[in-house]
Amino acid sequence: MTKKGAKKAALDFEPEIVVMYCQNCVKKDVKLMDAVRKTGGAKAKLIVMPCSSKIEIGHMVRILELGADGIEVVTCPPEACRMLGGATKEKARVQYVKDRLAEIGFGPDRVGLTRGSGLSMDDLLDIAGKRATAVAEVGPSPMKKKD
Amino acid sequence: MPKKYHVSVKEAPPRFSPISKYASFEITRCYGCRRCVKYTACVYGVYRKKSFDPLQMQDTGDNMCINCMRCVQECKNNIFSRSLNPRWERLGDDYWTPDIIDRVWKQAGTGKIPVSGAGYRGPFCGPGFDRMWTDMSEIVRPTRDGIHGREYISTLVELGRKPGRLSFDEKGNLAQDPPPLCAISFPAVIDAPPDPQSRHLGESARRAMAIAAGKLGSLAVATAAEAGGALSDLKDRLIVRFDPARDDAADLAGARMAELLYSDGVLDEAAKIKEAHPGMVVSIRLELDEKAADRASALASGGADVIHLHATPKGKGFGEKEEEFVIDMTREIHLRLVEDNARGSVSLILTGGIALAEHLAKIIICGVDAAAVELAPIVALECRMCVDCEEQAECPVTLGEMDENWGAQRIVNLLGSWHSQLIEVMGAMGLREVRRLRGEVGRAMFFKDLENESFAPIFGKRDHYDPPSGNPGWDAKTRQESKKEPPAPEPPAIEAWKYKGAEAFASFCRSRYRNYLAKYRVVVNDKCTECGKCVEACKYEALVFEAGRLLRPKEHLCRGASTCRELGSLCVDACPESAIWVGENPLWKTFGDPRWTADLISATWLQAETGLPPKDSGLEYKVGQSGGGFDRIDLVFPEGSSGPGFKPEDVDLEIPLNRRGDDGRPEVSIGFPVYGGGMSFGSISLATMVSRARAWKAFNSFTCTGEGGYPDALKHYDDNVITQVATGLFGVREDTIQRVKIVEFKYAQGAKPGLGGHLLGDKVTPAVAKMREAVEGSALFSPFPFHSVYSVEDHKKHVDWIKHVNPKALVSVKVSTPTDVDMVAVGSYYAGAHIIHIDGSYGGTGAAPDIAKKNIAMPIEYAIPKVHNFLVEEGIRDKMTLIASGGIRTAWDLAKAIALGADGAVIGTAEMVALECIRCGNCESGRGCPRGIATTDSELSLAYDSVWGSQRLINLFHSWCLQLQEILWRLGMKSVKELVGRTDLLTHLDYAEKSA
Repeated sequence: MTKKGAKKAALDFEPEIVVMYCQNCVKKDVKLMDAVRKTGGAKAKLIVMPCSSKIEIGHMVRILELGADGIEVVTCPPEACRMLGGATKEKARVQYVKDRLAEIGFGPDRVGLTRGSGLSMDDLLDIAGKRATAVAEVGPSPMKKKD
Repeated sequence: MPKKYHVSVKEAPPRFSPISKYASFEITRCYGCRRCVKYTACVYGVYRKKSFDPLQMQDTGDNMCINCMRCVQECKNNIFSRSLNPRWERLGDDYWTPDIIDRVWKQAGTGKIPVSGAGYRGPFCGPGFDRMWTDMSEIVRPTRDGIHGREYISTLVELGRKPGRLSFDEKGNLAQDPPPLCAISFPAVIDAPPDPQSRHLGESARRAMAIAAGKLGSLAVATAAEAGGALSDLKDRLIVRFDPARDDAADLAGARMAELLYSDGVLDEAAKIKEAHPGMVVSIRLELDEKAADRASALASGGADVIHLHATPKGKGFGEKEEEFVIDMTREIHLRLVEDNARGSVSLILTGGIALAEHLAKIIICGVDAAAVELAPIVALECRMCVDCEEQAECPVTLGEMDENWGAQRIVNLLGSWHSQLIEVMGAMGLREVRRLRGEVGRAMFFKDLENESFAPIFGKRDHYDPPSGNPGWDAKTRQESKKEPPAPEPPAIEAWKYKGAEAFASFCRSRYRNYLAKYRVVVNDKCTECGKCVEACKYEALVFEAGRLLRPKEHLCRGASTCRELGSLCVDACPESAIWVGENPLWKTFGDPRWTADLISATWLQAETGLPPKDSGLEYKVGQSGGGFDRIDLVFPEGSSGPGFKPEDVDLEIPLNRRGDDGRPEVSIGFPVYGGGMSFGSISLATMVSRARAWKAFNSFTCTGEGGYPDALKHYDDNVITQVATGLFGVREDTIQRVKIVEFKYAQGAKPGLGGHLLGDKVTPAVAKMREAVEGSALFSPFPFHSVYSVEDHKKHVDWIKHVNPKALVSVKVSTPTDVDMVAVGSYYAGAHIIHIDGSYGGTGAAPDIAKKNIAMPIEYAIPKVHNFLVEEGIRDKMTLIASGGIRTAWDLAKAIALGADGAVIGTAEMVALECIRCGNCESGRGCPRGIATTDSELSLAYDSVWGSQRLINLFHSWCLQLQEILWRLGMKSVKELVGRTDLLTHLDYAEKSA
């Protein structure tokens, strides 16, 4: 494929974004377990987590390898973290993954972290949409295996 | 005899990682001690084996973890924590709970009956089917043999119209054509999937259901379009749902049954189908609404073959009946047809709310011939019952694409497991045919009836019979607010006295584990300047300053921000740098259950550590949160300020066990009104057995060997050992009977009434095999019942045999709590027993089928007054010692049980918890208890020695004695014997009149 063709393919693709959100940063009526939704040209998979600190560095790498083009971790503000430190710890992990992605040239913007509280389903989809926009610019995850 | 029915189950693993109940975390940074608990503490190697499934976003280690918490408690830097997994909590809905879905998945994967260790964990009673218990018989023909296949228990039912009478010609031949009947080998039909779950189902899933129905010898419901299309080759196991106005009648050809929706002219339509397809049975589907009973009556008298009652997937009715549950509606229709003299003619099927094997048994008891399952097969195919199913862009478990044979095997496994469990229930009841189970409400117990029979005479009028929503236990705050505990005389500080009846006293005995589990988290961040103001503010020594440095917070001593804020002394407020955070620890929700809450487990650990009641610990140590029974009963103390004229330590807790006085046997007393329950060598380690024996000896009471033999290590404690003669007779020899003061006959066990015993092969180590004279690695079953006892006369022969072998022994008879437990108690007295030991259905066990733990026989709270009162009426109450067990968790439970009418109690689980059991329920499988209590594994059973174990138990018993003495002192009683049967001193939170 030519360079131009590759760029076009990158723009045409439908990013798959995994949004992993802490159960405490959404409104109480968001009772979804796993939701798969289409949002603005992207497929968003919303996964609720007991705490954002459950997401380890290796998990993010495995997701980029097999599951998605981009990842958004949604955490509580540090002072509201029920695990009292989980949100802070997760920020460091996300930054670590971003740095490593930048190092190998896969684009640090594939991974991001958002802080929030009282989020609704639409807010989560917006967050996914923003990450999808960032991911669309860098194209499909080169780590992602086809099958 | 019909052909022997067998369901071929085999492993059908899930395609997707199941959602785990708990999630583990590393909440702080590891400091690299190089002796990582991930590898040293994890008995099952979870940390070695785990991985991450990026498609399901599931840490596979969370599925393997058994929640023993050893890693959490042993890590040197305390980096681990656990939390409930919100994905698990969000499975299903309020009826199809995550627990039910999880159980269905597991059964569909293996086809095995769910078996676990520890006792029942759920609420006292609940909505729907949880308001009902099935019965068992202590003395029946040995149906246990049927469970293991040596004899046959039939689950066959015939659907169709049965003639009221048969006529014969002069030669004795049948003079009428027998009506067509559709026999199914198992009383469960696979119904068509409901919306919205049907939306994602593909053709392969529908074929899987029909294939499974064929393998099970049952039927599956399908539309006429399906029967004529995708399922056309599977018609011989179909019930075809037929719409005369729309469907092609040709699609019915070859099907076993047709089904019509109810309408005014439905009987005419049925007649047309029968005319066109002679030999076909026609079912009429009827919604359970306010007209259902009238319509069913009319249909039955009009000649309908089968009436298929239909409720919502949550078991609720329609129209005016939308708040009613299927057990009530089904009973109403069944009884209506009985009154019409038409019940024998017509068959009833019910769809709605059948989610577990016990539901199947219970709904048949309520009057139907068979049940239909609609959601369970879909859940077996891994459906997660997403609340937003209709909005999902794609099904997370791709229900539309699957291998039909894999799907069929999952459904066969599920219903095969249900079949085995149905046989367990029938075996306990002594029934050999499921047809005899239909409408047998006399062999069932209902919450309302039990409350009225056992509690209403004591407590007055109950406010309501609605099941408790959630688990409204009774924490200390509610207790205080309820104002049902009037001011009572204050006893001296409990540390001021020791229990005189013990040979050994309490002394501090620390936990085996490094980290205590804490209710609150306290985190000090980098902003801390170590000014020490927080230490000054902390009244509970959770924050300690030493050598000029603030030590790591002792979180287990923290009482939480709200408690300290009320005191006006909160560390968070005192900190000038805002460097301290205090919050609830999510870990606290990951252990314990409504019966044994995290508070109760921790309070028992604390008592075992200190030997004193945990009065100032901030833990609720008196009751659990089961929402019924002991958790809603309380003692009423007389008002007063000065107290009785004696000290609490002078209260006498000793009780006699031999009250007969007619057979010249010795007087035997115990130092406080409790002794240890039967736990066999095999189910628990030798160190645990010896620890128990030492501790009970210290209190002049007894431990019990269970039925696994009498280890030589117990010889030193012969005078404090009860040896058990149970149905398996494992290790029973004349010399073991002659060594002891008490011999116990075990007819049944509360946790598994009517099911005998079961030691899984994994735990039959060489030592266990030698003791039991069995083969290493082979599962050992104790049959049910005694194969030599089919009557009370036979029972008397057994008692006489023991009395002859040991002329000095007392005889105890341990039975479960069926509806006729009072008769059994009286029968035991006349057979010559000294002690009747009734074991309620919520008792502990090393291994029991989950179906038995909740559903068979009544809770002990109902059984005690029933037996006590009947013994009084028979005039033999003072000749018999009544011992209760099966749910006695605390000293307060003990006092309530005695006030209800027992002389004393037997405990088991409380002892295990004192030895640091966390009720993970993994006693029965693999290497057994990861904490080294209920195991015979050569490595794990060395986790502690009997010195530590016995001191922990002595501490617990000592704490209980002090609490019991304090209770009796506050009641103005000098002896525990005065409390027996004093129901006037009890109150129940749900009963208005008495408590008011």
